[in-house]
Amino acid sequence: MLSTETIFSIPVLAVGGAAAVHATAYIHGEARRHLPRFWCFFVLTLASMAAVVLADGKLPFLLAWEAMGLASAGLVAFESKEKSVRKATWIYLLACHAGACALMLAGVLMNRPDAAVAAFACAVVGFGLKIGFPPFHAWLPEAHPAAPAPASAIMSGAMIPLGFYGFIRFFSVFCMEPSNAVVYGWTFLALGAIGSVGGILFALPQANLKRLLAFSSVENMGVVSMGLGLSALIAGKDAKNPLAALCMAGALAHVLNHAFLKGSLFLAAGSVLRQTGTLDQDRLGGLMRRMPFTGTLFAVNAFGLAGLPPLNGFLGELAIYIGAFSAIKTGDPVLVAAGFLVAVSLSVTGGLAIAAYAKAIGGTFLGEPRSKMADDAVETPRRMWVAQLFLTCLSVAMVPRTVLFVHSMTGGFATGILIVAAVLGMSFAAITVSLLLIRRFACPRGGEKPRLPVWDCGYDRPTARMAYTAMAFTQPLVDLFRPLLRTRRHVLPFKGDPASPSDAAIATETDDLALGGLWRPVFTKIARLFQRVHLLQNGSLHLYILIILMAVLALLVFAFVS
Amino acid sequence: MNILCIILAAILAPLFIGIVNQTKAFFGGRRGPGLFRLYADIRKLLGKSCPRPEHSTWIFDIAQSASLAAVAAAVIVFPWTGGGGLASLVPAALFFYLLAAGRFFTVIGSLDAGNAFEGMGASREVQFSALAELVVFVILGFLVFLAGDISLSGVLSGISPGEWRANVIPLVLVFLAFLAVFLLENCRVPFDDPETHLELTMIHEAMLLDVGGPDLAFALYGAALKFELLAAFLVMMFMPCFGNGWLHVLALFSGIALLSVATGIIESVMARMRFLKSPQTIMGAALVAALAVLIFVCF
Repeated sequence: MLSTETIFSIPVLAVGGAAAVHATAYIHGEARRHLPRFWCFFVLTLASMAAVVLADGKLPFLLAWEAMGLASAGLVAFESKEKSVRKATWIYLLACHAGACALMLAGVLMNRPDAAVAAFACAVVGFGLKIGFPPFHAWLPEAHPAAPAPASAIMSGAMIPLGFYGFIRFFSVFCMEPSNAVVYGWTFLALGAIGSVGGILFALPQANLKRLLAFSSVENMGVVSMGLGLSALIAGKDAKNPLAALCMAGALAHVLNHAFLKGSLFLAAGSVLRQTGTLDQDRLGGLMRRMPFTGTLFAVNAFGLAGLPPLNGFLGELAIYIGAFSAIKTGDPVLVAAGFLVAVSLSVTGGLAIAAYAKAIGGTFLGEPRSKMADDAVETPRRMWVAQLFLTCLSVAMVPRTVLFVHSMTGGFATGILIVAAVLGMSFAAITVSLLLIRRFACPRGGEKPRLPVWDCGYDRPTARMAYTAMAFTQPLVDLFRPLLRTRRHVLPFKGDPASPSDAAIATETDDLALGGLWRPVFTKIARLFQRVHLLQNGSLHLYILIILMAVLALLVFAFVS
Repeated sequence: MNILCIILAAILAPLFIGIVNQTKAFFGGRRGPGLFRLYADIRKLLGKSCPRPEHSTWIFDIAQSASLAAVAAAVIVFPWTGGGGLASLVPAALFFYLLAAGRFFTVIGSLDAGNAFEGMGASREVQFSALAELVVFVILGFLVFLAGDISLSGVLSGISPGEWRANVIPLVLVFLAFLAVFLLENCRVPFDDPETHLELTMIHEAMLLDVGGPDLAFALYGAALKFELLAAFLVMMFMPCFGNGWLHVLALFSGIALLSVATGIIESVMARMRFLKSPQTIMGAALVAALAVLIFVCF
């Protein structure tokens, strides 16, 4: 059985190592001048992440936590010449500091037994700002696209789950009390359900590949959170119930699975950016033939992260599914409600994840290139895809490892089910291979594969511009959820002769709901409030001296009176 | 015996599509293509070469095989003989995830062709199936609660006449909701019309526009298997239990045949609805299933 510390340090080391190899080639050209800065912050980030896991008390933990935020902000700001990067860095720094503040408060409150729930609430804000609990996730879709790809990989794969580490480490005792377990469980369940469904919903309309992946991180953290919440609820009823351990094991396995899969996907996104100069899926396409290694590894990892058998992403989720359905089976009203919530949220998340990752693969790598940049792309230097390959191998190794891990954590409960699931996944792969062999060798003309023009309704010269774009692919789903997504359309109507329209264009943009709907108004209000304080700082020396005098007088009066 | 049943299911699958088509022909006053047309089609296609679009990649090459393999894996774990065996260890969620994996391959395979119409079909497929997943898992939750078992064979252990009498309203509601999923997942009227060969109005067929030869045979056979599998799921969900013998198998396959006839009748008396109405219908089915759960749990 692995200790919690081990589970959370594996992603730091594995994703960190792969990202370092990838970064040696990712940063190229003019940017190489700033390499020392990059490596300085990169190493500091990894070291502070390791320190977070290894810290042996509350104070060292908080110090390491703060260092982790600052060092990674340096990474996010790497391309600080871009205005958008500077903006994203500000948002990220703000999120880090607000989180650290809340954690300090939680640390103080934890010592008082009567303020345990208040401490937990502060921790939800503090750790939630790192994990990306809704509505605290607003920094993720801003910071991840702005950061260099290796940095996004370690932040998404290894750093954000550390919030769960904080919860497990400091709030396991809190959870022992049954009344607290209910608070803990429902908080995690509700935030997880909203985060997973909302996260993947907002991933759908994103044109920027890294933004899509960032929202998908919100989704996966939601899945982990639901597993932990369900585990707490079950343990609150009966601490010895193996189902609690099963949900916990599923959630922790998903942390590892997500780290490897998402780390590799972010590295692939970085390779795409390096080779084409864009991450806009509507301008990419056709990269699978031009960058076969990057594309194949991306497809495998995206398949895994869509939560489909036989890859590892599925097995962790399956453990949570088994937990949810078993909770329904118990007949206890609270557990039935919780089980339904988890099963339904997971299924919606799964369905939408298929759409989102089919879009990511299809839009970026399949079909025809939609721009010259994509057409001219070539394969990356070898070490970039080797870094991806390393993480992909870890993902594949996680298939049996997830089963073993769940087995050791639950003491054999549900092991048979997971083994059957894993074997069934393997047999799915085996049947695929045998069907390919049948097609090749048993069919008389199966070896002949003539290349024919695609069918376009009788029109004999279809061009790449007529193929479906990534945006068009998700448009029906996006339209369905329009009230929530609030996607803005910028339409440039065509001019001139209707028979040969020219210059028409459409672009869509989907902002994060929490950023636009909650944080921006809140921070605008705060800024307006502080405008008033500006009266005291108007640059006039007389005013400052007056203020100092009044302060001294007030202090004197205070001293005499008391 | 389980293996014999799997082989039987594999052999019979195209027959049920034949039954649907013959029923439709009967209602249309035509002679129809015959019950065994699909067998002949598959045989013919297997003898052809395997054309590919100009710029497709390995994804297109393996897509149809992989999606048939996923359905085949689901066929292998299905409790054809009613309970016991592998299916008592397989969680019901896994069964639907296998089908989803197959669908994923069809979708990315069609995106690989770089064809506008295939993209259109794929886009609709992911939209409708994401919503169908919701209905399926609400129904699964209901069945787990009812049966007290999370495994596939437990969920499909059937409903005795006594249970039918006691809970007739929620059971009928769940039946209707799953019927909607069954028609949707198999791309039948009123959600999709396998007969129209107009690219703009299709889902499943649109994704196969550039597929030919053995690959098309795989795709057609996979669709037939999926039809049979989901029909079997629906039949076993509500059929009273006949024990684990051949009687059960006989009842199951006659049930599937009946459901095929019913599908043919539905297709003959209904037109396909507008695509914009489909998501609303599926959401409606989800609400109906949720209502059934509420009625069952609360009363």
